[in-house]
Amino acid sequence: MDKENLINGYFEGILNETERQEFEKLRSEDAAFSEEIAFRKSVQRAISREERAKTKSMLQSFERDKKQRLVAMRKWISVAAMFLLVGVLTIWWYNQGHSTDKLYDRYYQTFPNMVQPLVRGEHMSDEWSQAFRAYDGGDYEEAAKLFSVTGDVRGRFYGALSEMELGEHKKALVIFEGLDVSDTYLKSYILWYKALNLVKLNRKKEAQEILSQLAKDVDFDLWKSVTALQERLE
Amino acid sequence: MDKEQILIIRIKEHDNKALREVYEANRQAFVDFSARFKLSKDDVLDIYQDAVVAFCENARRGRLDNLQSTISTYIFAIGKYKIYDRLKKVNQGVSLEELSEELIDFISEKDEPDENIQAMQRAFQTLGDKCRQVLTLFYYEGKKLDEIREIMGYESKDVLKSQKSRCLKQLKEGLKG
Repeated sequence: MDKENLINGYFEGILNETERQEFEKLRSEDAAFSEEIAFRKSVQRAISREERAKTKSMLQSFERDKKQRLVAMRKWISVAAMFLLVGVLTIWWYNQGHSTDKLYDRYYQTFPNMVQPLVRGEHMSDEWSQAFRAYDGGDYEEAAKLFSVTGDVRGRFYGALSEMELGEHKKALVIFEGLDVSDTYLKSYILWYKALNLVKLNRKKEAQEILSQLAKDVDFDLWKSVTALQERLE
Repeated sequence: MDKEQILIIRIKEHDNKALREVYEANRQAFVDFSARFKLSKDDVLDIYQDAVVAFCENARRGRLDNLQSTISTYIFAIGKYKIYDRLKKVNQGVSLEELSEELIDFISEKDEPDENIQAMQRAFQTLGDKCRQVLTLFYYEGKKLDEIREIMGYESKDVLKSQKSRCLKQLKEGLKG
């Protein structure tokens, strides 16, 4: 077998016994042959190192990918958790508001004009009468505007009621807070509507305080509603 | 054909997805196993990766075509060997089937970087794709010339032999330069 084929055969591992002996003989006697074998063996080692380095590099990239996936997943989980929390809080908050809304709707009734009842056909031109006419007619915007200029407790009470009708509960709150109820026959009604307004604004504690005060007035014709609402707020 | 044999075939075909599957399938178990030894996580992963590299090499050399154990067992055996070696403990009762002496050196880190080999690596990198493929298939994967002729689509064995000779010559020239 020629030298090249012997060398190839050696690396392929297909030499038979005779060929192997020939190979070994040449290796020990022929310097050039021996050198060529050594050279090809170093080629083999170099390629092995290259391939191993490539494979290892690939495995290291798998490791990095895994780390990145883990980090990404953690981020995703915390974002999802945040959304979940926000969702839960929103539902809870909505329920809070919603249940007080229900209470408000159940107990609120438009308070009738008990101050300046108007006789049909009469048209009093002063602002006071105009305001009450607007209130009676359901024009709460006009009523609120006209009632806002009065210093009279009753007028301001109806101003607050008008704001409540308009859904402007914060404005109504401001008016209620400035009202001195000590000297009016409408005291209990004012307190009742003040409490109802607070319920709508979900300020349960403050509403409870007023209602417990009100509950002492057993002659109040809405006393039953007062105690019922008190119970429901608990 | 069972799942493991298919994986080995895929790895021989340089299917990186298969390699990743093997890597990820055995990683945690190996890390858990290594916890009993005084090794850093980085060291453990390094050892594990070397074990998978050795597994991969033997697969590509066709030495695992008739693997009797599972891939996991095989990789674990290599990893264990390397751990004991690194900790300078006696490697008892760990048999490494079909690992060449050279691979054992690799695992035991007796594979010292040789300046000559490094020069050879650099020269090898400058060869064209065809040359690198022929030489890798022959010298690394240990494929026979007939097989290589088929894989690379050469008309005849002689044409392939000439190509291989030219590549080796180029390599020699590259080393001189």
